Amino acid sequence: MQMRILVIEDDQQSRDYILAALACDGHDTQEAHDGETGLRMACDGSYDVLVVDRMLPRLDGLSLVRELRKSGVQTPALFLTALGSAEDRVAGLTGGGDDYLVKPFCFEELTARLNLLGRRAAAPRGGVLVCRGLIVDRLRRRTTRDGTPIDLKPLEFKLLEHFMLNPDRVFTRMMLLEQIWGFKFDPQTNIVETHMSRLRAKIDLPDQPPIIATVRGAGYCLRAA
Amino acid sequence: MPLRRGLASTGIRLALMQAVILIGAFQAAGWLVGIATRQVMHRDAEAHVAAEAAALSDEYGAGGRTRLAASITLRSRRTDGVYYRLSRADGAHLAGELPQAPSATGWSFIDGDSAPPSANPASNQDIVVYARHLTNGDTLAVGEAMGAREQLRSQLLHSLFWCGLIAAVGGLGASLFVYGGVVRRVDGVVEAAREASLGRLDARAPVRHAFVPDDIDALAQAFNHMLAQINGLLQSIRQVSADIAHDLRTPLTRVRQKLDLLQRARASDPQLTESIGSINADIDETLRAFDAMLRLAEIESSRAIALQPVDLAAVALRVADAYRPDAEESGRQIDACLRPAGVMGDAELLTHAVANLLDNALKHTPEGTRIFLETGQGDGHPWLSVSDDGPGVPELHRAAVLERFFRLERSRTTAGSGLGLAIVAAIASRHRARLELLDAGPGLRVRLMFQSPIATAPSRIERRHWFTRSPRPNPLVSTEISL
Repeated sequence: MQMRILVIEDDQQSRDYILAALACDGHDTQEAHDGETGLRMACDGSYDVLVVDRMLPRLDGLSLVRELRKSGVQTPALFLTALGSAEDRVAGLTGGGDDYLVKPFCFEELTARLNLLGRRAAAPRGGVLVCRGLIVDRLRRRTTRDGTPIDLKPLEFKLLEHFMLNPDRVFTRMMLLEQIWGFKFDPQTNIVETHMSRLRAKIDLPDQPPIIATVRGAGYCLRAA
Repeated sequence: MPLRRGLASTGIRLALMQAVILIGAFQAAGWLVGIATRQVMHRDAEAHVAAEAAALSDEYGAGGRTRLAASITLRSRRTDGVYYRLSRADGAHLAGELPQAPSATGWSFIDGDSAPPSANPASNQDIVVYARHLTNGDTLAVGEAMGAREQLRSQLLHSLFWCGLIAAVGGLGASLFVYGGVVRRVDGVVEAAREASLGRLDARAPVRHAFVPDDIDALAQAFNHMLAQINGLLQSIRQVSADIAHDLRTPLTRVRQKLDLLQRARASDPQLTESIGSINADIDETLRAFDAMLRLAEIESSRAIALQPVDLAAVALRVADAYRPDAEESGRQIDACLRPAGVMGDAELLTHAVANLLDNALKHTPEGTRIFLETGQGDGHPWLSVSDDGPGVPELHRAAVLERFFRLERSRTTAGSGLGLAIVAAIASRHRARLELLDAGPGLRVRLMFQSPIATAPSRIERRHWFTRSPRPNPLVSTEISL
């Protein structure tokens, strides 16, 4: 889906990279080089998502989003920063930011998060989720594939439910660690990979493409069709 | 308990001691003054009586018994408290109102309380009496009542008593007032120190803006100055970390991004894609080590951690569930015995600590190792421990493994930053918990001992004991559990 994205970043190389990569994916992008310009442009509310650097000349990113929220603009904002500390993260999220990405990030991490932010309202809801013969009953916590019951552990169920609720959206390893496990740090082990392979072994059929596909270098994505 | 706290304060003790000493001093003064005035009064009365007796003797010498009796009658009309008695040698009363005749000549004392009550104003008074025989055998006695002087004396003692009482009560009150203020202000300094030790370095001791600052103000000012200095130092350290992070991450970001773009442009070349992937992995590993350093600095220096009631069992269960499949894939096994252990802590940091301990146990043990995760409470200390039946750490190296970048194998071939346990140690220290490395015989047991428990709200964890599979037979572990 094409989105209108405003990138507020003072570092030219980072900005060029983000713009080039977003344009590559077909998004409509605009740029601002400092906080004040960014605030003025964002104020008209015509953007789907904002990408805001924390350290900006003339008006820092946090104040920018705070000002924006004060004047009633609710456009989702993703903070970019080199500061990865929990204090900064908390400050960013309580200051009106919707997500937080620490530099350096790979492009897939950025697009995955932007897609989730930009289409937040469109998530399917309901007690029963269906995808290619896989049925997840959220109330009874039961899963079947083509009628055959599947025994899932609580964490596996939570993981599958998360993907079923957000079809065709890419989740990176870091996003899953935050959203499923509540880990705000990077464990040195393959927690996500192991859980994913166990889940796949239970829900996939040998002769069909996997329900949750690996996006090379990026993460995982549930293919609805 | 304000009263007990007040009694414990040095100032209040000093004030009470002062009051007691003051009362004692006034009591002693009253006693001494009483003795001294009594002596002076007697001497004065005796001199007066002696003079009267001499004058009357002169009257007798000049006019005999008749003149003496007339003079006595005349003098008795005065109401100056002097009484006379003239009696014959056989004891018959001739003149004067002194109620009893003294038994002997010379000085004597009539105790007024012992005399029977009578209309005579001279009875029922303390009287100093002087008696002498005249040449015709008569006895002349002159006495002076002490009443007026006694009244003066008791008034003096009364005013002394009231002065003492006012001085003691007033002094105590004033001291309590002053010391109460001092105690409150010292409490302010103590409170600020406590806040600061919990990491809130913007706490300040209250300083009065008095015209003449006193010693407590000086103390508070010096203390605040010290806090400001420490805060400034910490801020600049944090600033340096942030600057390094920014300055080193930005070029790394560009390298990674350029590689990304290159990979996108040449996606058809599998060999290039593979090389770029491996370069990216190297960059990521560098960044991870760097992140760990920043994280460590952040945990050690962050202003305050958000203390909330946390059940260690719930944290451990969550982390164990996350790690169990991974452990099984690598041929190890995680067992857990989790009993409620409520602490005041930061759930995110505690999760990180448990994850690091499990990471460590998985990474530094051979395949087939059983890892045992426990939480519980004993002797008023909630605790969490991770033990394994692997090769363990020689006692010699136990302190060193907590240091940064220390690894047992010198080749440093295993992945990891070498900061895992250092981060756990920092998190433990922020929670005032003790990190202990023990011998699990065989294997290593790492235990976090917290200071004081809190009552955990009944949770799902609390209602069931968490035995996942059977706990391995380990004498050390089982004695710990029975605590």
